[in-house]
Formats: sequence, structure tokens, C-alpha cells
Amino acid sequence: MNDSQAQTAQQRSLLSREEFGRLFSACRQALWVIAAAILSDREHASDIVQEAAITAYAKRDEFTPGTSFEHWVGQIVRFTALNELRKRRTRREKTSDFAGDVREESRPEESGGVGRFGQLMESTEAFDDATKRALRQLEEIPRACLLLRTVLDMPYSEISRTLGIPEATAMTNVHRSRQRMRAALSAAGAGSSGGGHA
Amino acid sequence: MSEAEASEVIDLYLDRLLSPEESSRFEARMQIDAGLRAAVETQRRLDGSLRKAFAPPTAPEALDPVVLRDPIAAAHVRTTAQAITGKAVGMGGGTDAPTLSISVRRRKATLVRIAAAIAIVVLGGYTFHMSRVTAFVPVAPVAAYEKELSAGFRPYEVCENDQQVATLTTRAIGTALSIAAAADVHLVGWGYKSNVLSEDTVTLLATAGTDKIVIYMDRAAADRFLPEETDPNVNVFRREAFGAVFYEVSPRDEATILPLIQKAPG
Repeated sequence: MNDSQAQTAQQRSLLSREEFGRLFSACRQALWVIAAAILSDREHASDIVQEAAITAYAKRDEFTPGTSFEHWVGQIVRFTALNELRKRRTRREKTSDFAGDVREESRPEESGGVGRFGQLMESTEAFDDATKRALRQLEEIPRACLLLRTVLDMPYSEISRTLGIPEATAMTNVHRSRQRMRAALSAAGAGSSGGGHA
Repeated sequence: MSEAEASEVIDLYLDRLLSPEESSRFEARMQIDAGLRAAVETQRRLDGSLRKAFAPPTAPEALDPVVLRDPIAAAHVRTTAQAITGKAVGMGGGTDAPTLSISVRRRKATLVRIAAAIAIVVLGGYTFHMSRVTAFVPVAPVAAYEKELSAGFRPYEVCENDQQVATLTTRAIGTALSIAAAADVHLVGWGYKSNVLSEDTVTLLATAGTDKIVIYMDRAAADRFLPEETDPNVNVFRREAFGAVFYEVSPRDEATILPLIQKAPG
């Protein structure tokens, strides 16, 4: 082992369990939002963070102190969530005829003869539903950027650090995501009337 | 101002990245531009909707010590939960639904019944499993230590010789151990049910001079995150060896018993 390898190994062994716990707790909310963004749902975000915590803890000697813990563990959350997403897609493909049909059949706005959004969009519930549908149309990383910025009010520099992308990319992702969502909501009739700038 | 420029300025405005003068100009423009006003309103409403839908849980759900204690159980809990719902819970959506024929509906109704029966069986197992998982309530080492002191520092079991210690530790943590002799150190005895790491954590009571020391030992796989200790009068030391993990709670500034723990000869 040469000097630099030995130094790296020594640095890596410095992250204690207590330090790991402290660092993880400090960025837990951001990790949860990343998981929720990638999955597009909040129900399983905590499970993903939990699973990622176990993975990260088992691999904690691979973390190099002095580098961004948020980015390191954020990557683990991302991969864990993406794996989960892949599993879901596989399951959905296997059961698409059945599950998809039942979901669509049970939509109240369609069974009631009202347009898919129509007047129901005036209600908060319908707007929220439309927002989620529009969010699902975004790619995972832009979605994560948008949620970190909107939900946690996270500065772009921190989004950049957490997701390991340039700050300008984080800003562009948020801006384009908002644009796309506004456009989607306007097209669906969900936005305020007369919007001409979305 | 083009639509693209307006869109960018809306974001800068809502991100509070415009200077006070720019903000004022933008607000003045909104007064006369209904479209701009509507777009800002839509974005505000959209942001509110996202915040509501994706507000992170305030309770520290992550790092649940019970789940961390047992990653396999965590994975099982998760898989089982998905099995119960039949799918990953998401936002719905999907493709447009074609009309179903009666035979397809019947077949699907049968599938629903089978799925329901499976779900009931899984739910039963899940409930049983959860009752086992959640029965364990972890106790912080210092709290357990103070409980030992207040209970009179009395052991449940006393080992008379090294052979008995080896037998006890083999039974409890799967490794035959012995405690090396040292001046001033006296092994008082052993206890159980401290719940420091798991239900199977073994307690060793010892004294060094007049200091009372407690060791909590368990299989390494049972190790978990321990909360930071706030009692300035006691210290917690950790050692991991022989496939086991040991925590020494002591009023001393250095671990006294941990260095004495060794694998039993033979």
C-alpha cells in the first residue's frame, strides 16, 4: 500500500458510529425528500431512508471525512429509491392490465361525466391531484431539485452539494420543472384563469 | 417581456432572488398584467400543494433503532407491507382504461378474492411479526446503568470460574469468553433483560476499586445506534471483538473491563 492509499484508508476509518448518526440525522429531511421525489410518493419514503441508513451504516468506512456526507448518503438514497422504482415498474408491467384498469375505473371525475379536471379543479383536492400528476411527468433528478427547493426551501448551493450536480444545473432543473408544471396545470385548466405566462 | 423571460422572473421573484428594486418593479407590473398575476398565483398555489403533499415527517422515523437492530426484519416489514397493498403506493395515474369483457371481469374478480385471501394470511403474519418486532423497547446504556445502581447492583447469576463464564457467554452471545484478572477488579455477576442492544443483551456487573462498572454485551449483529449520553458523571466505552459488541458504562475516564475481555482458551 502506498502512502496516499494508507492515508485514505486512515481517513476513512475516522468516521465513528456516533458521528455517522449525527451526520445522518442532520440531513434526514433532505434524504426523505429525495426518496419521496424519486418515488413520487411519500408513503414509502421513510422505508427508503431507513434502508439507505442501513446500507450507509454498513458501508460507513467507505465515506471519506472532509467530503460531503450529504452527497455520499444522498447517492445511496437515490440508488435505493431507483431500485425500488425499478421493482415497481416490473410489478406494474406484470399486472398492468388489472391494476391499471381498476385504478382508472374508479376515478370519480370520469364516472360522474365531468371533464377530467373541469370544474373539479377549483377544489383544493383536485388541484393537489393535478399537481401530483404533473410532478410525475418530471424526471427524477429535476423532481428532486424542485422538491428540495420548494419543500425545504433549500439553497441551490446545498441542492447542488446534496445531489452532486452543478449549482447552475440545480437552478435550471427547478426553473424548468416549475415551467413544465405550470404548463401542465394550465393545460388541464387547473391554474388561475387568464394565465398567459406559464 | 417574453413568456420565457417572464417565467424566469417569476421564479426569481418567488425565490426572493430579485433585488428590492426589481421586486417592486415586478409587483407593479403584476398590477397591470393579469396573465403575469395569474401565473404567479398558479405557482404559489402549486408550491403550497407540493409543500403539503411532501412535508417530511417531523418525528425522526429514520434510524429507528428497532429496525436498525434488525435489517432483515426491516426488509421483511417493507416487503410485507407492499405485499399487503398489492402494489407500491404511489400517485396513481397510468394509461387509459379499455372496457373490460365480462369474462375478464370474472377472472379478475377471482383474482381479487385470491389476493384478498393471501392478504389476510400475510396480514396475520405481518401483525404477528410486528408484535414481535415492536415488543422490544431499547434502553440507553446510562439509563440501564442507573437502574442497576438503584436496584442495588445485584447480579442475577454468579459465575464461580472461567469455565462457567465461557459457558454463559457461549450460550448468550455465541462466543466463549473469559475476563482476565486485574488488580482491584472484581466480577460481581451477570444479568439479563437490560434491553440495551436487544432482548438478549447480557449484563456483567463489576467493580474496580470503589467504582461500579457495568458491561453490556451482545452479538455484533445486534449493535445499534446509541443516543448521546448526557450524564457527565458516567462514560460509555465501546469495543467490538469476537463477533460480539461490548459497552462499558463507568464513572471512570478510561475503559477498565473492556481490555480484559478475551476469547476463552480452547
